[in-house]
Amino acid sequence: MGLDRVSRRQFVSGLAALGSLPLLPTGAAAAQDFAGRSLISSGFGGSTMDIIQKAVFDPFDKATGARSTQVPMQSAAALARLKSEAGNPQIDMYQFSGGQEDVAKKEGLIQPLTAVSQLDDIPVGLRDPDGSWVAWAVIAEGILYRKDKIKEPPRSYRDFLKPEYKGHIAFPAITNGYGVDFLVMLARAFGGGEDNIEPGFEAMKKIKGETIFKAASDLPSLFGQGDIWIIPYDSGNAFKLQTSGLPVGFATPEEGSPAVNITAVVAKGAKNADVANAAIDYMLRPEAQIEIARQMRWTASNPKTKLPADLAAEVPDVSQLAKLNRALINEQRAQWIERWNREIAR
Amino acid sequence: MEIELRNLAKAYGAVQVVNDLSFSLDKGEMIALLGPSGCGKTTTLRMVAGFIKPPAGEILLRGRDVTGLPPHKRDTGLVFQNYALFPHMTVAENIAFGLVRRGVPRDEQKVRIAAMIDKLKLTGLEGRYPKQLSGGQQQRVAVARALVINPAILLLDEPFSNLDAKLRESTGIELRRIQRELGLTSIFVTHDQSEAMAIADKIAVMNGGIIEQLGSATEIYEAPATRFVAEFIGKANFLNGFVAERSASGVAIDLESDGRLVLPAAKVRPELRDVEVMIRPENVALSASPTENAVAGVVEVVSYQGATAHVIMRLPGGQSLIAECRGRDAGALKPGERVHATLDPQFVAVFGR
Amino acid sequence: MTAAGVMTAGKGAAPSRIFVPVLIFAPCLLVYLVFFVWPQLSLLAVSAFDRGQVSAAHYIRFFSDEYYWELLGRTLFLGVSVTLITLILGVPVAYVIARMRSRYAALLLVLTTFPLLVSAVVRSFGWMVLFFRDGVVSNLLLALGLIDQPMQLMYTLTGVIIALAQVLLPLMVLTLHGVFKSIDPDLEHAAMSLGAPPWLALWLVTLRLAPGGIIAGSLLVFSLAISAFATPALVGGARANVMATTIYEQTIELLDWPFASALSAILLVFVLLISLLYAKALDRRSAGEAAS
Ligand SMILES: Nc1ncnc2c1ncn2[C@@H]1O[C@H](COP(=O)(O)OP(=O)(O)O)[C@@H](O)[C@H]1O
Ligand SMILES: [Mg+2]
Repeated sequence: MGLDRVSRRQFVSGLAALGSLPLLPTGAAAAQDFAGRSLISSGFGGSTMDIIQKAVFDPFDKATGARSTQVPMQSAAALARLKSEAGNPQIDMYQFSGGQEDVAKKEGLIQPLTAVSQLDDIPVGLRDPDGSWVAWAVIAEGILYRKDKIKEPPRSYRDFLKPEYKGHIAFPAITNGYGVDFLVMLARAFGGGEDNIEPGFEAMKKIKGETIFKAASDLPSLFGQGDIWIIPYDSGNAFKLQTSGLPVGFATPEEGSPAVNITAVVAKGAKNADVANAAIDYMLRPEAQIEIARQMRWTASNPKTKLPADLAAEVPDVSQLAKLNRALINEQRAQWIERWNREIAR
Repeated sequence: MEIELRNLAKAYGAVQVVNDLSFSLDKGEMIALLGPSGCGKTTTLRMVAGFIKPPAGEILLRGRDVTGLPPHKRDTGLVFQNYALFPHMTVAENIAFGLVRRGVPRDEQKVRIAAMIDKLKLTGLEGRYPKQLSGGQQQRVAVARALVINPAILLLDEPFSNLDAKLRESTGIELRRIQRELGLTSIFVTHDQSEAMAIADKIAVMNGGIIEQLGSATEIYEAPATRFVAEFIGKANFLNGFVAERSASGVAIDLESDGRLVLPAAKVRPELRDVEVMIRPENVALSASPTENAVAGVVEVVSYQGATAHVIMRLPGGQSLIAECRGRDAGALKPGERVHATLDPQFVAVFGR
Repeated sequence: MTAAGVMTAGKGAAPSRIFVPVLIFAPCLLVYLVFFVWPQLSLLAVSAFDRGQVSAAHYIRFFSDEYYWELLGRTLFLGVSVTLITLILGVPVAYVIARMRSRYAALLLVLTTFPLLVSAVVRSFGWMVLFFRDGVVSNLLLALGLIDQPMQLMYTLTGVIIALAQVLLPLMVLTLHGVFKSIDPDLEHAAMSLGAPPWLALWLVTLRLAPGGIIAGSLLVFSLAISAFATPALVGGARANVMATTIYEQTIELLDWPFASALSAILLVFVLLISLLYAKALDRRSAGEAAS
C-alpha cells in the first residue's frame, strides 16, 4: 500500500518522476521471492526505528515475502555486538550513524555488498570504494532559524556573525558531533578548513558569548523560548521542531551541508546475506528514499531520487553536501576540544 | 503584688488544658502548683515563662502586663525538671550564660558566679561539664543558673523529681532557705503533696486545668474545698449520707452505714442533700462503747506502723473506714471485734454527691 | 575470610569475640572490596602509567595547566556554594519540622524529599523552563524590578548551583532533622529564659550541639555536589565545566582513560582533604562537649 501511494505521488510530481521510472524495473528485478525467510537488522530505536520500519522494511517484506525485524541498539553498541558475534552473526545486517562501518571493515567483520544493484549509482563518498558499506541516507546539517524572527533565510555560516543576530544565537558544544562540524564549516567559510582550523576558532570567538548547548534535547526549549533565532543543526531535528509546532526553518548553507552518513552493512557470515543485500538495495530505491525524506527530512543518498518540490525545498540534495575529511578531523579532535574548552567555553 | 495571673486559659484542640486560672503572689512568696500528672501545671508555668502564649487571660509581673512578651524579655528564672543544662558548656559557663546575655560586666560576672557557686556548694566543679556531675550537682547548677540573674520570679518545674528520696528532702529544704534568703517570688510545680507542703507558702491544688483550692498547707489539709482536694492530699475516708435535719444548732446527717452526725451549720452548704462526709483517719477515735457522732463496725485489718497504727473497719453498709490510733493502743484491737468510731465534727468536711 | 570465620567460630568452645563482628561484616566488606576498593585502586593505577611506563605525566599535565586549576577551583566552588546554600536553607526547615508537634511533621518531611524521587534528567528539564532568558525566574525578577534585563541562568554555573542545591537540600534536611530531633527543646527554652532571643538560642545552643549532623549533612551534600554529572551537564551546558563533566568528556569523548583517572584521583584527594579540614574545624568549635 505504501509503495502504491509513493509511486503515485512520485508520478504526479512530474518530470522528476520520469527520470526515475526506468529504474524501477532494475529494482524490481531484485525483488526475489524470500517467502519464509527472515532478516534481522540493528536499528536506531525509538520513533526513528519505527519510521524506518514502515517506510522501508515493511514494503520490502511485502514485495519479497521476507520478515524483517530491527533490534534497537546504539551504533557503538551495535559495533560491539557485531564484534562479539564475529564468525557466527545472529544479526544479518547493521545500520550505523557514527562511522562504525570503517572499523567494521578494517576488522573484517563485514562482507562486500555483492547483490546491491544500485550501489554504483551512489556517489563515491557515500559508499565504500570496495563495496563494503553504503550510506542509504544522509542526515544533512545546516542552519535552523526562526522563520518569524528571520525573514530572509540565512545562506552561509558567515551569517552567524551578523550583528543583527547578536544575542539570539545558540550553537552546540564541541563534544556534540555537530559542534565539531560547525567549527570546521566556520573555518571553511572564513578561508580555512580541516587542515587550518584557525579561522574557525577566530570566528567562533566572536560569538563565544552566545548560548552554547550540549544536547539535541535542548533544541525545543531553545527555540521555544523565543529569544534564540538561529542554530546550526540538522534537517531531521528541524523537521521534528516544525512538527511540534515551532516556526523553524532549515537552510542549506552555501558552503555545503556537512552530513552524517546512515550506513548499512552485511555481517560477515550472515545467514541471510542475500535477503540483507536485497533489503539494502531496496533502501537505495528512490521511492524508499523519498519516504524517508518525507518522514524524517533525511537526505536521499541516491542522486537519482528526485524529491517533490515541497520536500526539495527543505531537504538538501546530495549534491549540496559538504565532504568533510573525517579522518583529519578525528586526528585533531582531542586537541580542538582542549582548545575549545579554553578559548570558547570560558 | 509581684506577680498576678488573671483568668489564664489554654486549650490543645478540644482539650481545655488550663481554664480560668488566677492567683497572685507577694514578694518573697512561694506557691506550689500541686496536682496529678496532666492537670496543666507545666502548661501554666510555661505560660508564665512565655513559651506558651495564653489565648485568654493576663500575666502581670511587678505590675507590668507581660502576656505578650517573648521569654527572653520576661526576666524569669527557670529550673527544668531535667535541668536542661547546656551540655557543651562548663558549670561556670552555664551559670554565666544569663549574665552574658544581660551584658553584665566581666568583673561583676565573676563575683556573682562565685557567690552562686559558693551558695549552692558547687566549689571545685566550675570547670566540669554537666555529664561529669551527679544528679544533685546538676540540679544545683540549674538552680544557680536561674538565680544568678536575680529574676523577678523563679519558676521551678518538678525540680526534685529526678533526685532520690533522701536527697529530695534536703535539697527542698536548702532551696527554701535560699529562696527565703533572697526573697525570691517563686512558682513551684510538683505532683508530690509532701514536697509542696514542706516548701511552699501557698498551695494551689490543680485538677483538669483549674485550681480546685488555693490556700496554706493547713487550709487545704484540714479544710479541703472539694472532694478532689481531700482525696489528693493526705488520706481520707468518705462516707455516704444525706441531710436529715437542719436546725439553728446544727445539721444532722444520717449515714448510709448507720449512725447520725450532727455538724455545725457552717459545714454543710444549704443546698446540699445527698452528701459525702470526709474525715481523715487521725480524726477518727475508736472506743468500745457507742458515743455521739459515732458509727459502729467490725475491725478487719490492723496495720501497725510503730508510732501509729491504721485500723480498717467494715461498716454495715459495706463501706470501709480507716482510723488512726496510737501504735501502743493497736494491740487491744483484734480483727472481727466490734468497735465504735467517733468522727470529730470539727474535722469533718461535707461535699455534695 | 568468611569461611575462616565460620571455621574458627565453630571449632572453639568459646569463639573469640572478634569473630562474630567479622562474620557479620564479611559480606558487606567483601562487596565493598570487590566493587569499590578494587576498581578505585585500579583506576589510580591507570593514572600512573603513560604509554606503558610508570609516569606522573598525567598529573603534571593537570597541575601545570592553569585551565585545570580553574576547573578544580570551579568544582570546589560549586561544592562549597551548594553546601552553604543547603545549610542555610536546610537548617530552618529541618529545625521547624523537628520542633513541630503536629502529626503533619512526618508528612512534611516526606514532602521535602520529593525532589530525590525525580530523576536528574527530568528535573533538569524543569529547570530549563525556569532558567532560560525568557523563563519563569527571569520574568519574575523582571516583573519585581530586581533586574532590568532578561537574565539567563541556563548554561551558567549559578544555574547549576541553584539546581544542585535544590536537589541536595532534602539530604541536608533529613540529616539535620534527625540531629535536631535528638536535642532537647528545653535547652533552647533555658537559653531563652536566660535572655537569649530565639535565633540566638538556636545559634548558641542547638547548632553548637549539632556539629555531627552539620558535618555529616555538609559532607554528604558537598561530595554529591562535586561529583554530580547530570545536572552540570544538562543545566550548565558547555560553560559550567566541572571535574565530573570533564572526566566524562575525557573518558567517553576523548578516550583518554589515564588522564580521566588522574582527574578522578585528584578530585578524590581534594574531597578527602576538604572533608578532613571541615570536620576538624567544626569539631574544634564544639570541642567542649567531647571532653567528657
Ligand atoms: N503541645 C501540646 N499539644 C497537645 N497537648 C498538650 C501539649 N502540651 C501538653 N498537652 C496536654 O495538656 C495536658 C497538660 O499538660 P501539662 O501542663 O504538661 O501537665 P502537667 O505538667 O500538669 O503534668 C496534658 O494532658 C498534655 O497531654
Ligand atoms: Mg509537667
